[in-house]
Amino acid sequence: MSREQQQASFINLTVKSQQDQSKLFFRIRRDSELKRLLNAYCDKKFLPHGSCHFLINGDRFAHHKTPDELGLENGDEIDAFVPTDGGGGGSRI
Amino acid sequence: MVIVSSTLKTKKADHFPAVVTMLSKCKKLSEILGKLTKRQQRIFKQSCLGHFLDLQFLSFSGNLVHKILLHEVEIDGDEQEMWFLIGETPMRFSRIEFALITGLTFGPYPEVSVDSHRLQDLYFGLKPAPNLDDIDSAFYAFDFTAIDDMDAVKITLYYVLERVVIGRAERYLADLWLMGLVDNLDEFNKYPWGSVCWRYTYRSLSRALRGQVGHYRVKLTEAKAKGKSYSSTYNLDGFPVAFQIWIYEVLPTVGRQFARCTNQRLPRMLRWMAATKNIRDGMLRTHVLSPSTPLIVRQQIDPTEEERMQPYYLQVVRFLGVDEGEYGGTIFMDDQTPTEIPSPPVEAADMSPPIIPDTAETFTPIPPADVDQTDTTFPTPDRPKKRSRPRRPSRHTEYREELFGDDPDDHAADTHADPPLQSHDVFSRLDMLRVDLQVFSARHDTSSQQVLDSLHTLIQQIRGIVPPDDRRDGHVDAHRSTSAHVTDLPRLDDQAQFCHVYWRTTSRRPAYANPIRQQLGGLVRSWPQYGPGSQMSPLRLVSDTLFGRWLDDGHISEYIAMLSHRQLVCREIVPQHWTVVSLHLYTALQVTYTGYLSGALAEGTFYPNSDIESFVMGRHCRLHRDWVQVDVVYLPLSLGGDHWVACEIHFRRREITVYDSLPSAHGDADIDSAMQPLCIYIPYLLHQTGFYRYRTDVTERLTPFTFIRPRQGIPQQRSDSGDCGIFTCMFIQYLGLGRPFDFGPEDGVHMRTRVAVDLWAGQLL
Repeated sequence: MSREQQQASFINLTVKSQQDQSKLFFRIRRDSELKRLLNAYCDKKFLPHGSCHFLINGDRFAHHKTPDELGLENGDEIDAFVPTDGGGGGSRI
Repeated sequence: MVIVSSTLKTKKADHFPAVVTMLSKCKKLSEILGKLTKRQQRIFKQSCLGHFLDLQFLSFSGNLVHKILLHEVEIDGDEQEMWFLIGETPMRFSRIEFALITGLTFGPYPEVSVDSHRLQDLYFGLKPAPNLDDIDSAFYAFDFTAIDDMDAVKITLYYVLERVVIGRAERYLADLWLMGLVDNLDEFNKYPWGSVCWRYTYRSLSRALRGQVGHYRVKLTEAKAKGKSYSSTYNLDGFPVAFQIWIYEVLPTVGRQFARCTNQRLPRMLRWMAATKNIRDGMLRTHVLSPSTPLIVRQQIDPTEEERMQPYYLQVVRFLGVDEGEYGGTIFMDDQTPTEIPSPPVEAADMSPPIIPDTAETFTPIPPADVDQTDTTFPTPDRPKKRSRPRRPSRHTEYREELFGDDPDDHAADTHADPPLQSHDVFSRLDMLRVDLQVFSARHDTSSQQVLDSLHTLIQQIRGIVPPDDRRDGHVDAHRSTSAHVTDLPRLDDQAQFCHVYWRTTSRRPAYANPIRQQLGGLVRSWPQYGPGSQMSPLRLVSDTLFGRWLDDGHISEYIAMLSHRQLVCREIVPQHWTVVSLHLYTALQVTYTGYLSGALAEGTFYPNSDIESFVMGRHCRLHRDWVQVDVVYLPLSLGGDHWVACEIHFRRREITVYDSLPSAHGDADIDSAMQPLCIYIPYLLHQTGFYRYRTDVTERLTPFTFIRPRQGIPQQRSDSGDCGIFTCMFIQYLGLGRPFDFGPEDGVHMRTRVAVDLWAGQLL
């Protein structure tokens, strides 16, 4: 595989935490599931998997999709949010 | 006179993706001009290309340009004009627009004899016929501090002309005639460079798509055979940046989304700065092709009084020999419908001359499906198709017009004999159904089974009332390209059962210990995904809501997205003066505020690249109203991570009202600290995004907003019910509809049904 093809089959993505504005940079194959990247993010940040919400351009996305399927481009950013919850002092079911 | 037809040059079915590059080195302009010394720059400024010195960085967006080029329509007449049709008003790109944007002059080519080879011999004496590549390398090798100031300016003028104004590929030979001409600055400054640049730009733009469709088809078949995708590639000569700025000018909503108008300078290209680097298809779809907020379309760029005085405008008008008032004023749309799509009888009524009320403006709510109006059933009230002279209202009028919709007469005009069912019908029927539900469910004993039954009925009704043709995306829902048809839903009995079982099984035991849940999980995954945004399965949304769980941000996001969509499709029922904003705005503001407290940020500044503006500009694909169009913004926010409240941010009153269904959960001190980020930073946010420039009716002040938390007249929840998420949803809905609160603590269960129904509806529509 030539160098260009190799370049084309990968994509650089940024995950930005909305809590502290820190950024982590990832390089991932265009045809692998984003779940891998998100889990890697949680690992790096010492967070349990699934404890973060991820948004692209303000909206949720299916984690089993690939960058190609979601139409991501090189250098795109994924926002990581800590989920919020609320019930108003009632006992949690 | 030009006769503009409504037939697209490229049929809608033939639209293809493409990668467009511009050959002009506009991006390098600051680098090129930065080589000059201060004194040389002052001399450069005096020349006919002097204003290029002030051109702000503008990144070229090939995707935007390509999508607009695809909408060129055929014209009858041999004028050098291009007409585009997005929505209902055609837009003109002609020499007048070009002159107004670039400030270059037009005129007949004068006879100039050039016999000077001084510059070439002295500085570029490389070889007899250098190409542009050679010129590039020679130019970058110069040290302008070492040579004569006038010569440095001349060389730069030549270079800017050759590489920026007349963009050509590197392989072309350099135009040595130009190099001779530049040595005679007087003649050079008088030369009609607008005509030259227009020749290249127009030729390249008008021929860009010629033959591309067939080529694309062939290549696509080849690529598909190899299992690859393909998009065409083409280059644009000349100065296509002018075209891009023209797009911003004639489609102001688009300009506001993708660029920033930083000042009011002349010519117009100095005003703009591109804000969005890569404009993706999704954003184009939301904001241009099937816009959520009404697309404002200007037929042409109308020069202001000040512009009418400018020499470049006077020259182009004189050159074209037109009366400035009348040029472009006579436009005829031939009333033939596009041939590629059979038109339903409804649209025949549309084509008849509409009633033009006095207040009609040129912008129109655009049918989502695109310019081919024949295949859309969007609930657009009849608007006038054309006006011979579009009146230019002030921004304020535009805004009011947009807010308060159309004249009642206008509505009376569109009574179709047999109107197709549209999504606002579905919503109104949903509302009726909900009244039924209200009667049906006696307050306290609505058991889960009853709720499920009513949901069942609801879904059956939706199935019944949405005719098969309307189930395609683009009709019922313009913005979510749902691949799922309503018919693709599993049978509802299964679903109702499932809903119950799912809830029973998910909350108690871990998944690995629960075979039923594993099976069910498989089932859920095999169901179609609803909407690109929702990661949660609709079932989980509904089951959580129904069965007394706390709501998290997933539910709330879905709910406010539903409200926003409903506001869009039911313009007649739902007031338009408000919008909702994603709850993540609060997180972002909180971070900013923490940074401010810790001293990392100065007051009133935001983290660079924090993209916080996207909330205000409505750049999110499901919450897409710009704050400029509204007076009130509703924001659900989570206090301390365990209590939802609804905030009403009122721009005119500069006040935030907190609707809290359980004030005892968080005391005044809590709420005081929680509201600080909003109160302090909302004014700065408005200031930074240029809100006040568009809304002159609101006084601009940077002092913090105030907030109140009324205790009287706010429905309260039962303290142990965990209903605050539900109450928050209902607060926003009631406030948005302008209804007085008519529910109380005992309505929690009932309201869960209502929210669940709405979430269902939001998922289906």
